[in-house]
Amino acid sequence: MAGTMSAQINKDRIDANTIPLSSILVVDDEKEFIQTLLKRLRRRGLQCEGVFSGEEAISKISAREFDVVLLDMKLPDMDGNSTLVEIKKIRPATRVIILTGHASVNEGLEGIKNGALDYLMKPVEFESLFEKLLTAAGITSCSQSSHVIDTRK
Amino acid sequence: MIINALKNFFCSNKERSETEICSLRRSFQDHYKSFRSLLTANNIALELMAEMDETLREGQPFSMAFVRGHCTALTVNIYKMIQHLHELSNGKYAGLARVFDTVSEKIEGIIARQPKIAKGEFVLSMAEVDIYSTDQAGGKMANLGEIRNRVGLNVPDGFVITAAATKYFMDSNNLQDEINRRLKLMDDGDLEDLYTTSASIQQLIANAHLPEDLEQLINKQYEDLALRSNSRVLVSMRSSALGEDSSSISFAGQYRTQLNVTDDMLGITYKEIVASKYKSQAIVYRMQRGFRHQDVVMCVGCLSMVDGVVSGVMYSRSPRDPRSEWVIINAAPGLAGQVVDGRAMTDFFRVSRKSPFKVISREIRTHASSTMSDSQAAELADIAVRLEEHFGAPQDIEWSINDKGKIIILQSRPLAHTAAVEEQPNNDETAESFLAGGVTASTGVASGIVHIVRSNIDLLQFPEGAVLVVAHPLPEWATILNRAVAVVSETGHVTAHLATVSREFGIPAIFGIAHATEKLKNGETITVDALGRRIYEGQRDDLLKNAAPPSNLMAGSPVYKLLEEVLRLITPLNLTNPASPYFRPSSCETFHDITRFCHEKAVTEMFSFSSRYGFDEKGAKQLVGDIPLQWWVINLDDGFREGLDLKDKWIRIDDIVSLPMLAIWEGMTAVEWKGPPPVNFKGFGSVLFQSTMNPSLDPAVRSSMSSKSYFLISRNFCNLSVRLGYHFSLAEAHLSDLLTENYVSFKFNGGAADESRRFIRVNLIREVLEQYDFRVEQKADALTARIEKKSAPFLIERLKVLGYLLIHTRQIDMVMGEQGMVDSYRKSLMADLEKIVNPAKENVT
Repeated sequence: MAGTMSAQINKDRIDANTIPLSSILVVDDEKEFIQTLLKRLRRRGLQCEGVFSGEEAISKISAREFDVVLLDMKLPDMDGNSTLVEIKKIRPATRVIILTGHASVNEGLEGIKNGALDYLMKPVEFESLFEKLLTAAGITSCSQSSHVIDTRK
Repeated sequence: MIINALKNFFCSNKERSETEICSLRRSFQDHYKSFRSLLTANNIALELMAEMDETLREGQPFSMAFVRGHCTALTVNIYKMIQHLHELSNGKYAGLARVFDTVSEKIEGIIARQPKIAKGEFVLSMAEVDIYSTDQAGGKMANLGEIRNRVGLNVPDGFVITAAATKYFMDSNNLQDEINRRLKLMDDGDLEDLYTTSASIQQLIANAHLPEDLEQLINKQYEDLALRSNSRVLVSMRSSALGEDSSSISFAGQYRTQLNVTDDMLGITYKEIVASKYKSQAIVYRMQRGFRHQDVVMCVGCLSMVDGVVSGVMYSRSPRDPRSEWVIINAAPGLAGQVVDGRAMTDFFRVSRKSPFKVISREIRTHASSTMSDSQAAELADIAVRLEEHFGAPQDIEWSINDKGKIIILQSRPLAHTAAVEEQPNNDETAESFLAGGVTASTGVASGIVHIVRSNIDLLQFPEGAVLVVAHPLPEWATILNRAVAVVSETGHVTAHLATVSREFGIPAIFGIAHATEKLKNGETITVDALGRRIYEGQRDDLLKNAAPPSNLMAGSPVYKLLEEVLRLITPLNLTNPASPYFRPSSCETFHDITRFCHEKAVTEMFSFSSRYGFDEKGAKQLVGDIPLQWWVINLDDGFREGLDLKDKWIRIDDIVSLPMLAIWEGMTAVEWKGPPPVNFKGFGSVLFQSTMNPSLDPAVRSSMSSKSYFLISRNFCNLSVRLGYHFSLAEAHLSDLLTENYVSFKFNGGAADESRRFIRVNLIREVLEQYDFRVEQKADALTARIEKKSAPFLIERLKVLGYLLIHTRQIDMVMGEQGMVDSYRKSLMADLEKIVNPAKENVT
């Protein structure tokens, strides 16, 4: 039984064909962070873009739909929660995951109240972030995704 | 009034002019000010020393910041004492500055000591690594190299980026100073601050520039690896920190491991792993276990990925019984990561340690069929025994079996015998427990309120002293293990990292209790009995009283040793006898010696002020009258009644007008001293103030010391020091119309024969003082009590309490052996005090 799994293990990236195309928007003012993250996400077959400010995020989201938005709370132009509210106004169905370097219970609670799906703290292990993104994008259910991650660890 | 007093003071001499008197008055007041400042610095210094001493003994976690902060404060106060003595004595004891410089430089040297980082190659291939490369490759990779190159077992091919490389990377970006600055600013009691600081430091490192030459070396090693493997292999990158994997210190699962790294991500991933030294759980762990951040240096192993079909963890012996004759194997399908991160259920095998390594028992929990064959289990057990023989101690081994059936060793380290509990079949459940089952991940009993952690927001709100309840025992929960009293998880087993850290922190943990997050409710109080694998509602004192006392987590750790080393320069007292010719600055070896010397000489200088200006030789007058013991009084300013004949060497209590002294005296004499044996001063002092710092002190030396008890007084001030040889106790008070200047302070050093008696006495005194509104701080057997900013009438009543206690606690010696006697003594003591003290004189503000 374990043998059947081995075929899937360690074949690097999840084969792009096995994951339906989905789109992720990463909003963060840290350029290096965005670059590394986008590289890793693309390698795993996810379509993604990055922007550095709240304004850019809102105009991107007005222009087209994203499955998941990964949102930093400290942005150069506006704070994360107001960005979140704007995003939800434009596209209520967009799922937003907060990813912040400034841990704060109040900010987190407000985020959840404003409709954020999850509150993550930097730095997050890529595998567990990837798992959350897949779940949020509706590509895998919770149990399936954790199964995928487990066998890949 | 002061002028009058001084006129009287100096009247024994020939007539003086007004200006002479004026300058004398100023001179006296300067002396008096220096003297009081010196006493203050002395008190602070002794308190700091007691605090450091107690911290070392108590075993509560303390950080480098504590050691650094206390040493700095102590150094400042010792320096102040030397300065004040300098003022008092007109620079008579210049030699002290030299001693001070020597001692403080040594202390500074110890605190600022930098870890030695082995010089050498930045990158080493696995073929070049063995146990002798530990300083370069870190424990984990050095062991793995040893297993490959000397034991001859299969390990993944690859290379190590060394400590020298990490130092080069950090230095070339000048990162350490900035990191230290951020850590110093961090409030480690504040979880939000902890996570934010941790994130900012990790981002700082991840964004730093990787020097080109280092990057090229890493890439070159990867190309060699790809050549050997005939493909552009994926690698796993693992931390291998210096100082990791010693037997009782696990650093379990704190740092980052990145699997499936492609060649273009080597540099970025390397930086992320170096940064993971500052993960929040790693910061907490180091503080808890007494490691300095700067002593941990990250090395990074890059190993080709293993196609693990079955993986797991094995122990060459039972962690509970080092003599056990079987190997314990946990196995699960897939890679090893899930076994140690606590998520997977595992199959459990107990295999004989002797050829042919028979399977003694097994528990299959993963799937319907077993994860591996008996022959594979036997092969694993054989390896476990070989590794134990090679390394000379029981081992904790991570392994994988690949699709070709080959066993590959991923890690081997000494097995921690920290009360790990082997899995046992579930006991029958009794009706009274609320929840039962699972496995004992860490033994113990604890009670607290339930706090279920499902999200990071729950995590950030974790209350101090709560029970952590989770679905899975993920390694990142370790960040709050220093706040939790117990851990309950729905899944997981004893080999999970969180179980290891729980055992190390001495926190009871039950893993594998189904539906715990549904059945337990936030905020309800429960008692977790980890050994019995039961959870009870409410606080069960009957179970809690059997809980083992917490162990000293810090003992033997680097920060603990550092504090010990520093204290050797601080607390030992070599200057014990003021009458000895060796009682001089050049004999001072420690800060304690300096405080002792400064205090002694300052008192002498104050006493001799009068003689220097040509009056009465001793300055001190002995109290006469129908009084117990011998007491000496020194008038600092206006403490004697006007018109007193100052030539006299004696003084009566009626001649004294110092308000605080009179109050203390009233307390001392209100109830007749009954306790036999008849007490002379030496007897009184030796019993009451025997030092604890130097228990081996020769009694002959002690008895040769002619110490006296002195009241230093002015109308509003009194400093009573009851001294004996090398130790002293103080009562001090200042009473005036200005509330902000008013205080009563009291210092008491326990100092009787054995520790338990000493504590009974100190506790009793504490109890009494607290009843009379003192703010009491107890540091080991030393007690400090204070009341500040209260009205003079209020403080006078409290001074009576001190006076009474100074005389009458002598009796506790005879009774403190038995609790019953202590109780009856407490009653008579409180009854006396009720008669003496007028509690109606409440504070008027």
